[in-house]
Amino acid sequence: MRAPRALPGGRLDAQVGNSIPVGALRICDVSLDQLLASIPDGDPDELLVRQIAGERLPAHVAIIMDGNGRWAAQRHLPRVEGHRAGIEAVRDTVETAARLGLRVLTLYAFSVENWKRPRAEVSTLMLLLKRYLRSELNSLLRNDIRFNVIGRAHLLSADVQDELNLAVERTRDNRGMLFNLALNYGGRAEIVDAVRRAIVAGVAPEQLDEERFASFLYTAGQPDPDLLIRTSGEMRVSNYLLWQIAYAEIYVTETLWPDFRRHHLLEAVLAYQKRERRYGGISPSPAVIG
Amino acid sequence: MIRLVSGVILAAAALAAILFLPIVALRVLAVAVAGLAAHEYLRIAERSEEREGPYFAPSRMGAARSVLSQTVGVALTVALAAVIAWQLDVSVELLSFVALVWVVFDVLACGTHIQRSAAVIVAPIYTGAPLGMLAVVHATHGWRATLMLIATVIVSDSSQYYVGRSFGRRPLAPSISPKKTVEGALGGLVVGTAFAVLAGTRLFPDATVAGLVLLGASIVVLGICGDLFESRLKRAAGMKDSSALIPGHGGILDRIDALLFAAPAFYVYLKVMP
Repeated sequence: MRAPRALPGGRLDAQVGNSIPVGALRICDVSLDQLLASIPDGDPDELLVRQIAGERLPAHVAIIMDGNGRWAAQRHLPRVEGHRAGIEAVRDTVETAARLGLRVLTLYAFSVENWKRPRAEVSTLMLLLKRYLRSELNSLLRNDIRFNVIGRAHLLSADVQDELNLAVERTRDNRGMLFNLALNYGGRAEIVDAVRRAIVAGVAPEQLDEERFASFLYTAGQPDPDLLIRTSGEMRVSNYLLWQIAYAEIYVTETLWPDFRRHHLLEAVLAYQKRERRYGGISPSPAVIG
Repeated sequence: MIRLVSGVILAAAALAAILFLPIVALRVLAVAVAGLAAHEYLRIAERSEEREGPYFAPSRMGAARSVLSQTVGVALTVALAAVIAWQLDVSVELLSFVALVWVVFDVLACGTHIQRSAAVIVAPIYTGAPLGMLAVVHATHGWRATLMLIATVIVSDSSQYYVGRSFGRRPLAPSISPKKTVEGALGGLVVGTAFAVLAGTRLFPDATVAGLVLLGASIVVLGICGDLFESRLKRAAGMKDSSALIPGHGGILDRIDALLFAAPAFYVYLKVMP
């Protein structure tokens, strides 16, 4: 339906997100229009979008989707009902992020530690994941979103892997936002995996620098997250993208994940744009003057 | 006049409850309404058994059996409504077992015919489950979804009435509900489905039109079935109203007969619409 956005070279460049390619400026403006077009007239979200500076969008937003259990507990419902309700938030967030013109969105769906949860909860999560993938594939294609999985996905059950592979395969040629789903993911596990890969690749100790190391991570070639959002008010990183969030702005909201919607994401982006990013220096980085 | 006043009061109270009651209080209310509706259903069922049941024979335990069957029916209903409303895990199995125990006891100890025992078990399925589901719809999808369901039923009911009054020719179910017409039912189907699609696209941005058409049509058709089902029960029992609880309106079952059949459709839609 929508014309696919052409990224130069069709590939995300591996630079850290503070330098936005010139060509992207035009693309971002187009995207804000795209997002505005999807918002009904008179909706308060329209005002939020108009405050966002299209040329200073975070290139990569990572989200820790926390609070499903608490949402369910508030309603005296079992935890799985919270996960079910959380899908709605995933859908809204992915669509908004794509329309906003983010280049990468990474959602933390299932950590390596989540296997400790009751077996019934884990199997429901997997069921919901399969169902989400099946029902959202068309929407991903429509929004030109490229789907990707990070984490030790090969340890998930075969039927889940089939569904994941299908989604990755079908969206392979999309040129819009890259949507990473972190599944069976752990930040330390990722670093260990990267070290293993580096050893297998025969990298000599003196050859290994930060840039080279990053190329062994699950997120090789992607910009690092500029903005890390955590819902449900917890002030923890929870083993998420440990290497990549080195300079990410962290935004914590009290909103529980199932209640997270378009305007919450827009508010987070606005808060991000008001911050001064220095990357360890003393003057703000030129690309993100507040 | 009494009918109008009590109707307005009832509608306002229901609206206020859906909008303002905390989730747990609304759930308790749904369970209580289920219990009341079950009580009315059981009385109608018993009356119809006495009137036309070919298998009716006075129970060995006399009036005590009547009290017992009422108690078991209402208790099972309240329990099932609560189990669904709170989405408790194991208890449905437990309840079906209790229902079985009741049938065994009723048939063996009271010497009741199986049909009469089984009619008691219909109470939780007929009234308890739908009201429990209604409470879950409210808890998971909020007051908007709850009102959408109720409004679709009301829109369907009124459009059936007005279309039937203006264009009604062929009776739909003359032996059960002589005033219902095929034309009215079709009018309800068109208007009710249109309403569900309009409200649904605003409420669930990701819903497909095809899915909403199916949902709307199911709500209307099941609503009509619920209406006819209750009318048939009352006719068999020779009763006009399910009770005299609401002045001018009859009983609670008369008010929610269509909703009882429509709520499960809505609930299932929300569960399968991922």
